[in-house]
Amino acid sequence: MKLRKGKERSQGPLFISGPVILIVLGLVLYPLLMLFLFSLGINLHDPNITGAYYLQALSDIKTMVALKNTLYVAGGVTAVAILLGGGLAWLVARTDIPHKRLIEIIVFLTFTIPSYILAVAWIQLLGRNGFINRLLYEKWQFIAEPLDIYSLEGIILVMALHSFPLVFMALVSALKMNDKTLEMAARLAGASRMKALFTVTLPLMLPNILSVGLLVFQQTMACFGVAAVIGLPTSNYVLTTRIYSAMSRLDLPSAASTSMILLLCSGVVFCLYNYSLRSKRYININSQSRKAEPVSLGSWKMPMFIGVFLLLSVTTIIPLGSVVATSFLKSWGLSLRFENMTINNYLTIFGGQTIAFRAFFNSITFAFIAATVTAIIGTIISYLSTRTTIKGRKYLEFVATWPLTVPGTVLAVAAVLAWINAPLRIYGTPWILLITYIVACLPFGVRNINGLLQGMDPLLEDAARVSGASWLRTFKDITLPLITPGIKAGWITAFLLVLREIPISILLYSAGAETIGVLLYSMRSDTGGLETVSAVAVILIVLIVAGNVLIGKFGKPRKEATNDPS
Amino acid sequence: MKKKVISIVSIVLVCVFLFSGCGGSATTGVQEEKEEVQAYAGKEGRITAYISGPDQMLKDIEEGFEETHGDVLDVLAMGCGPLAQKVNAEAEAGNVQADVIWGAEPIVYIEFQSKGILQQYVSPEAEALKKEYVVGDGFYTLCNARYGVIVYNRERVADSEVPVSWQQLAGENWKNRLAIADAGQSAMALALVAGLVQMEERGWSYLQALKDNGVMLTQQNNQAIEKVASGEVDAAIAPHDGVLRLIKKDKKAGIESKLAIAWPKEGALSVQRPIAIVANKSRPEINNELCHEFVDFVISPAGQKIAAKYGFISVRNDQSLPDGVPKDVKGVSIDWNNAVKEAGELRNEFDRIMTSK
Repeated sequence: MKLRKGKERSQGPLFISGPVILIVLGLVLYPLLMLFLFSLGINLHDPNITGAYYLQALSDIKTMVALKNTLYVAGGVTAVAILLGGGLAWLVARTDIPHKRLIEIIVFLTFTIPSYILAVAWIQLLGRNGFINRLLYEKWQFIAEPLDIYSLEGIILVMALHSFPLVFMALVSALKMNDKTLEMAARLAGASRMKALFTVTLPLMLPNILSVGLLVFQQTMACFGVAAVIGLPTSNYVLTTRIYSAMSRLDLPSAASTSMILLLCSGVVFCLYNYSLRSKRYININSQSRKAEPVSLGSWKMPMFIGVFLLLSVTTIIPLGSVVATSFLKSWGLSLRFENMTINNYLTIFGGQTIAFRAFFNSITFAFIAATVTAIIGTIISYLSTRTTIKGRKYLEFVATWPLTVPGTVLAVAAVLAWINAPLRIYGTPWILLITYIVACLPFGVRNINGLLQGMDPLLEDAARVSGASWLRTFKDITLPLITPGIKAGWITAFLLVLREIPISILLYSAGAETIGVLLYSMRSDTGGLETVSAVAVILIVLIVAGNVLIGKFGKPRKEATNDPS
Repeated sequence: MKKKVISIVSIVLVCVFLFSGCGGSATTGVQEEKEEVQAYAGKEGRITAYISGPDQMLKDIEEGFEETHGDVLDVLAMGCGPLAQKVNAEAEAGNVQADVIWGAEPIVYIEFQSKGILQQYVSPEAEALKKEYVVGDGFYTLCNARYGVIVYNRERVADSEVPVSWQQLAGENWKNRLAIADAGQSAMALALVAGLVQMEERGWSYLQALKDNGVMLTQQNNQAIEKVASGEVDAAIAPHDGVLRLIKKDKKAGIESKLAIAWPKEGALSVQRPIAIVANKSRPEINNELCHEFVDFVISPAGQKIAAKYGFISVRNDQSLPDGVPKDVKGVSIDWNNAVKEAGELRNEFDRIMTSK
């Protein structure tokens, strides 16, 4: 596969790189620098550099244990999410498994459940007197000891189930764009189905798998909500819970320095990622014959589908059902009987709470703008990083993805530090929310597209340029269509991310700019109880699904329809 | 590769020098005229308050205050944790945006006071306060109390088993049935732990006993209560007001709540919610006036009645207890200054005990 080494890259759009680099430096690097300064103890009260906070963090055995736990969890989640998401993606994109659309919809639904709610649903299933434990352990005595969700493995389970749709979406779009003729050639040359899968398809997909794997890894390292709900009960700390702990004792420099340690780990993983892609270049010419024969599962077709469906029932339908059921309960903890049901939770949300409508409106607006902006900037950054030879393009890419690696709370604090003082004062206005959302979403835009670009040979673009097309024309007619699925996946991810976002919202919102996150938080910490929180989540999910259906109806690209065998 | 490393290091160094240079020069300016640097974020004739508490209560308070003052108050609602973190981050950046902050725990306010971000004000209403609540030299005013109590699940705890004292929870029959919020994650939980530890004879042995009993930690207090409601644990140590509100909600929905409160005979741990005015020299006089009036209102009988409706205990000596709180309730005061002094040790010990195998 290594056809071309040390090739020249197409000299890209230098004229757009300037503004984008400025935006990235301003919006993304500047808050990071403020955080870095705080981690060194440099602030208004004390301008002297000190490494004390790092020394303190690094010499503390608690940090080391948390670091170890973090890496274990992130690694585990990445592995499980890739196996699950990748396997499903292959089944959907490459085989003749029935009801592909249904599978896609269910996986997408998983992704709409806020991770906090997902964690609570799993506690209901696997908690000390959870449903599954009662069944497997007490009733059937199938297992010797009750399963314990409150463990690092529990965090891995919930986070992996939360993240695998990301992998699925990225890999389905990549598999669809991938050249299937190579696989067919392998088959014609006598390779078995499995051999073709492992020697052709998988290596071809490697850049995409690594790219989205990196995304999941970094995201998991920064995850706080699930780690807190599932890790804390039995004192399993990860770095983010330690960071929150420092925040809670108002020790900002320690929170900042621990975040920097997290960032450093992430940077190392990022370097490994780039290194692993260095020596390999893959050709992937998108020929017109994209409609290759799907792999026939033969008599395995139905059993396979049933297996997938059962799996998805566990990962999605049951938790989703429990969220919906809870949202109709009169009170959290009641049993699911008709006399315990009510629609009052929905009425309270929109009744006494006048901010509810505004919150939904604001969040949707923010999400729309943030997703669109990140899609554009993300595309440009990915392009610069993979298609040009501009110096420091990999730094640019890493800087753009750092927000992924720290918990939302830290990102919000960095935004406070960066944007509170004149002349850069946007703190206290809705703009700070928008900007911070964009910063938080940018990594998803970059990652989703990057994998696609990495995996595609610039040959087509070069050919267009040689044939006399301008750079812009080449980009518009060749590159853009090839990465559209990635842009879409990134857009949707960013959109959902903003809708469900809590910590940034709660720390940065201003009067009038309430968001769904603010609503969720106040319901949660207030008198609403979990039943009302669930109701908000259900409304959110319904809105997302409705939006998706609308987009599907009116915005369905003509080309893809023929491409999709289902 | 080497080149890359060198270039990264040099970039970082340049940035550090650049920024530390800026920081240095800016700071000398700050020290000379600290107050001038802090610009006033608000508008004249309008104040902003960061408040934690039930949404509906904040709405009632805002309406109650604006009834006599007109539309002059912006309320930003948030939880106790975010409130403290937000103010702290703003303070670190040298510009707290709120005029008044209300909520969270005394430990947080003592910290803020030592950072010099609070402004002294003694309300004329303070004369009507119970004297154990007059603390803080006017840098903050205690305006409601919450009681740390034992909340239990009525369906899973038999009447004969209902705990009457803190000590009982250390007993064998409570093994794997308890929850409490993590003192490292929640300032309220830290306050409760400080109270438990200060109840002398127990010291750390009490928490150790809870740990031996397999106590489950949660991030927030309300999550401990949720676990009681769902039957995952049978009892939790948590503030009383949230429980009262949930019981009230159940009553309104026409069901008998699973939740109930046991009031320990040694006394409920009294954790107060302070209110404070943020120091800002450039705040217009009229806004200062409004801040004073808002503090007055919150501790006035009218303000206290609103808070009592949501379960908070009044700090005044002329108010009755909220529904659901027994008349003969005994509150145990916690020595906050001591708790602040020992906060580091409290967190470390808590951490050590809870992470021990």
